[in-house]
Amino acid sequence: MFWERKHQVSEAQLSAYIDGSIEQVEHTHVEAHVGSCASCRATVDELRLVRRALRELPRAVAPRSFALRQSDVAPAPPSVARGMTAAMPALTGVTMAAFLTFGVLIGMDMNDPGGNSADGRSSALQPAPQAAEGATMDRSATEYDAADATQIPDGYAGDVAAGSETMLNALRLTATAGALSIGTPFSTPTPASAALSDGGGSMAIRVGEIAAASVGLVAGGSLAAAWWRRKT
Amino acid sequence: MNETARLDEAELLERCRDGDLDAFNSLVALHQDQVYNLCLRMLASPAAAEDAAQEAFISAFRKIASMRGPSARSWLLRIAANTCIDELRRRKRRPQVSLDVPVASEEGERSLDVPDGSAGPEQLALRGEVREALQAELSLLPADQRLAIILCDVEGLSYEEVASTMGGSLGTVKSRISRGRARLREALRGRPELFGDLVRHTKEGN
Repeated sequence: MFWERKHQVSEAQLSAYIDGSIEQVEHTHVEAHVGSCASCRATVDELRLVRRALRELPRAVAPRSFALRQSDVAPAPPSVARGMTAAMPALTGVTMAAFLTFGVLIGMDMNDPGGNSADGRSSALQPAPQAAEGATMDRSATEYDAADATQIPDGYAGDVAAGSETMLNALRLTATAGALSIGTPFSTPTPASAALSDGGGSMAIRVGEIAAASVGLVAGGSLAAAWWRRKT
Repeated sequence: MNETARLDEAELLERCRDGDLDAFNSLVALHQDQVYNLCLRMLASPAAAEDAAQEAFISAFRKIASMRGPSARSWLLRIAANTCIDELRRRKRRPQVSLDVPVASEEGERSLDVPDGSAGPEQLALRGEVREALQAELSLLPADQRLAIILCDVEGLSYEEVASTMGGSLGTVKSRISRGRARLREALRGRPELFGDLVRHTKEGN
């Protein structure tokens, strides 16, 4: 019937009604409506059927005991898989340290007033006083560089060239650290050999970078490892 | 069941919190059938249910110190439900082709009628057929409605217990149960031969 479509109760109310889970006042109201509305009565009957069928679904018995063994809950069984998992944050730390080093190097480079990291290119004839990282090997590298760089206009371009080279080195370090972190420590070229295999640039800078990167790697790695150990 | 299983639940929980594995296993023994049933109805696969139940108990033991609330049962069922929902999400991300599992769909789209391939429906008793259809329809419900229906109608929990298991207000629980039942009702109405069997025991619906 047309007027029966305009129900004064919702299906949610009917559903709660068959469970006896509505307030007394609401219950009385729904009951009165269901008494006079054939459609809602049918709905109630069908909902009861659905509920009964669900309740009569066969109950399974657990196919086995789920009792835990000591080995299920042992804190850290020394297995390769677990070891790897535990090592992951530390390795991630190594990678992050590499990125940090990268950032620091770029920063150093930007702030450098064209003396140190722009090295031989801008001051070929009077080698800049190299800082702490200055090594004896530096001289030859600088001189070589200077000879090589004669056609490069000095100033800005030289800085840019040196900057991008430092960037490349840092990238190499990052890549190497990444390789280390995925577990190929001995087959990958070390930062030092990567730097050495490249003809150009200042050896001193590279040694400095490598030193800084190593410190960063070790510090980051052990911090991450300590953090992970405390966490677990 | 050993004598620890008969201990007062509060005492049992106290011992569990101290990391007593035997005490925890008594709790497992008390609730494992219900936990397994919940997983079975949620995942519609005995193998997946077994894995989920085991995972749930392991996870429960790890979290026992943070257990709150009056009822160990609600707490265990809640962990099991979450484990199942995680599993359903995994399935959704990486749909698996399985011969014995009617792939559960959270959106509830009507895809297949999901007959059990191992035995033709006509060989089953009619009531068995109704059960099959119900399980298949359950698997098509959105996860929250499915869980509410399973806890309330299949497991027989009260609305309050369902709310404390699932989280959410009583109103939310009511609405989930109602929407779930409405969909099951519609689905069964679409298969009069099944509904007829149910209706036969009561007066005619219309």
